[in-house]
Amino acid sequence: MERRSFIKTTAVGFATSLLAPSFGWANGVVGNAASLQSFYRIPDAMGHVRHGFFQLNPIHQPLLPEWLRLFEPHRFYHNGFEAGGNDLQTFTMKVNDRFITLGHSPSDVHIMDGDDIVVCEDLHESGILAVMREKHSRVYEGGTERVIIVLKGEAHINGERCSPLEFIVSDEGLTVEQEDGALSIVVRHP
Amino acid sequence: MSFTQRSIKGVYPSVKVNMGGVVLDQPLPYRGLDMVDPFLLIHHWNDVLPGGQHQSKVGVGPHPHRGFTPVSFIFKGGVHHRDSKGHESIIYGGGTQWMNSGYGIVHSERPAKEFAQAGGPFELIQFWVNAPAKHKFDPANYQPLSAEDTPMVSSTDGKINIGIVAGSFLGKEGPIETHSPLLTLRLDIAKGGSMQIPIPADYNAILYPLDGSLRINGDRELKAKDMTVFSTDGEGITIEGLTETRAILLAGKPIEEPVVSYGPFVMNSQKEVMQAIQDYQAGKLGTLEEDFG
Repeated sequence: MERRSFIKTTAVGFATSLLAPSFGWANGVVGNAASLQSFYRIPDAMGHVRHGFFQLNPIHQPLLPEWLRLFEPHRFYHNGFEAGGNDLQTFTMKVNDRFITLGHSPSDVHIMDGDDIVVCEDLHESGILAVMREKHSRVYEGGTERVIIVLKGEAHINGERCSPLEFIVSDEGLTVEQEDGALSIVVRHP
Repeated sequence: MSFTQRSIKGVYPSVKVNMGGVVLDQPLPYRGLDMVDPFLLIHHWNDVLPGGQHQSKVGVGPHPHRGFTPVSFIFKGGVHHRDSKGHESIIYGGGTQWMNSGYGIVHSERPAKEFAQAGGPFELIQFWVNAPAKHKFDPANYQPLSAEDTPMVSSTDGKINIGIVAGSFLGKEGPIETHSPLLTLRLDIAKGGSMQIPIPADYNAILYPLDGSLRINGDRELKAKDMTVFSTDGEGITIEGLTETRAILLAGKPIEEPVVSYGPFVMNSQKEVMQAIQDYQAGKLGTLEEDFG
């Protein structure tokens, strides 16, 4: 899995720690409280012709929190033989023992949480899960571990661009801003 | 005696697709042709197995289905079917594996062990038949049919032999139980063989030659791997073997319900497909641990 770090921010943070050692690495916070972050990338969706060979394969990522498992995304071709604009894409995660799947096509976003299926029109927030479609801006306070996954379009997290299929794990305060056409999931520690 | 021939609605060449690492020919679906109700898919897998392989490394491993009927006509080699309901069988050339997935099932389809080890020709066609909504959640079942148990009829010139898998044809009944009215035939056509094939009036019909070449209705030539779809404007079709040819004829009464087909699931709405994915994740479609002996 690819990892992209905030190299610029890290360098600034290190320099800051030299000047003010009391704000150094000891407490894990350097400079801006949310500046030291890493984005991870999940694999591209596996494409499926009609029939396809569908299996739910977990993504092996040791830096994911223990309470969360992610599975490879899938793209089911609407026309059954090649990728196109009306395909159904799915993304599955497991929070402790609970499966949550998000399925999205150009027209619909369905959230499957256990036995419940919900259509997400714009913003869906329920318990540990938030799903944001299109242009949104949300602020999350620090102190709770969260995983933010961008499935489509682009989002900025604390001002840093997060591209499709990238995710971030953080317990810091977070500002999420996404643009039209974007789709993101925010999962917090249960 | 007059015999009105169905006109040809369209001829569709196959395209190559990659299905989980297996490259095969797919005439349906095709650009502009999503299905021929009730048929959703035709896959033609024709290969030469190199041999020296463990069975676990060939074929298609465990995967789920819900809401329709996948059918395999085996032509060369043998296919080892295993599923989450406990069915296990090997069907060899000339035979059929017919599986109503219903509520759901997980199955694998691999060359029989002896073919994986020894190598050799391997050929099958898999086609999908949609299930009516009232049957999409039936318990899954599996019907194996060997070549020996497949009823046969022959043309009057003796040059065309037809296996009847499902439906009624020239006084004989195919043994397979189906969810909707169907006629599915396997044809072996020698050069020069000629025959009228009656098809029920309200059935859609497809003809797919695996190899060789045919003349249809006296004037249209059809080459290997070109799928022909017929209109419902006649009593049937006339086929003539220009060369030795093997073909399948699929005919069925249209179900005329909404179809949402994604990957291994065929349902009536996207929500139902999502439910199938969720149920698969939760293990409700069953699990399959293959025992390779």
